[in-house]
Amino acid sequence: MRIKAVLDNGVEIRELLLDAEMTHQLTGINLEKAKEMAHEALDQGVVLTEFEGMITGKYFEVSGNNTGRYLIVKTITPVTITLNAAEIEAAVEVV
Amino acid sequence: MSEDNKSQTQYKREPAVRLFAQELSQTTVAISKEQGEKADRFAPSYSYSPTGARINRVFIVGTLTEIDEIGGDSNFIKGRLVDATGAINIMAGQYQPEVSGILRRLSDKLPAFVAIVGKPNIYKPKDGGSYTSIRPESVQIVDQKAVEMFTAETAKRTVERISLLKKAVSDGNGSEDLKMVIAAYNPNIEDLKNMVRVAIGKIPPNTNNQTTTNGDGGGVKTQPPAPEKGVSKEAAKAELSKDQNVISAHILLKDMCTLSEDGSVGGSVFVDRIVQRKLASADTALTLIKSVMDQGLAYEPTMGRLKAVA
Repeated sequence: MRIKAVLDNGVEIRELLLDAEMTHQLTGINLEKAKEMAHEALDQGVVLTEFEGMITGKYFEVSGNNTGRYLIVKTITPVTITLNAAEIEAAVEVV
Repeated sequence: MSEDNKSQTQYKREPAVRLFAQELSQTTVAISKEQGEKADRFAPSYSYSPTGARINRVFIVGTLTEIDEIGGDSNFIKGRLVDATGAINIMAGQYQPEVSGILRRLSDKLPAFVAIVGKPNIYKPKDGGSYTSIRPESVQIVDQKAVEMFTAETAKRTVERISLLKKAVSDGNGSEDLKMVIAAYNPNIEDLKNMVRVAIGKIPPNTNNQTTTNGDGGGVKTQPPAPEKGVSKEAAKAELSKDQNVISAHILLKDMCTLSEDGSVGGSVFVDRIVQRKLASADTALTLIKSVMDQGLAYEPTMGRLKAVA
C-alpha cells in the first residue's frame, strides 16, 4: 500500500510517492487497518477517500529522494503558516 | 526532473495558482489553444487573471455558502465559494461525479470551510458579459486555520504579481503575457492592492479604502459605510447614494424574487424594473447589478437569472 500524491506550491509541482511505512506514519493507517476499513464498508474506495480527506488541500513540508518522476518521500510534516497582516501590508505599500 | 524528460514523455501537471475569489471572478481572458501544425489537443489552455497570473488550475480556500442543483436531471451542481474579497461559483457536472457527490453531501452542512482545486471556466454568452466559475477537481472540508494559511500565502503571491504588473505598466517592458494582460484589463494597481488589503482584513470590502464602522471584516456588507473624516463630503455623498441604490436594488430584487414562481428573476426584466424605478439608467443598470452581486447580495442561480440573497 502506498500513496501517490501531488505537492503543489502554486509555482511548480512534485509528484510524491509514499511507501507503506510513510503512509502509515502520515495517516495512521496500515495495510491491516485499510483492509479492515474496506471490508467494513464493502468498498475499497473508502481508504482513498479517507486519505484524501487527511491530505488534500493541506500544507506540507516534504523531503526525500528525487528520482526521474517521483519524489520518494522520506519525511513529510504538516506546516503552519501564520497570517502576518502587518508584513503583508508593508509589502503592499511598497508596490 | 529534466526539461527533456518532461517534453518527451508527458505533459507535466499544471500548478494550481493561488488567487482570491475576487480576482478569479474578474478573470475574463482565456487564450484559445494554438491552431496550426503544432496544435495539440492535449496542450493545456490558460486564462489570464487581472494581476497577470497564468492559470490552468487554481487552488482556493473559502466558505462554501450555498449549493444548488441545476437542471431537472441534476446534471449540474452549483456551489458558491466566498472569501474575504468576493465570491466565485463552483460548477460540477456529470463528469465530476465524486466532487458532485461531496458537494451534495455538504449541502446540509453549510456554511463550511472548503479547499477547492479546479479549473477556471469562462463563459461568454453571445449577448455580452463574462461569467467565470470553477470546475472542481477536488473539494475538501478544512478548518479555519487552513483559510488563514491560504490567505497568507495567496496575499503574498498576489502582491508579487501586482509588483511585476506595476513594473510592466510603468516601464512598458515585461513578458508578452503581461503586455496582453495590461491591454486586456487596463489594470488599476491601487484597486488590486486594495483587494489584498481587504483579504488580510486591513480594510473592509467594497469601500475604496475608507475606514468604516462596519463590524464584520469579511462578510457581506449590510449598511452603507460611514465615510472617513478625510473624504470630501461630495465624494461621501456620491458613495452613499451609490450604496443606497445598491441596497434599493437588492430590496427590489428580493421583492421580485418572492413574487416569482421559482424564486429568481430574469436579468432583463430586472434591468427594466431598475430603470423604471430610476435606480439607474439603461446604461448603468448592469453596473448597478454587478455591484449588488459583488457585495454578495445577489447571484445567478442559472445564467441570465438573478436571485437575491436575503
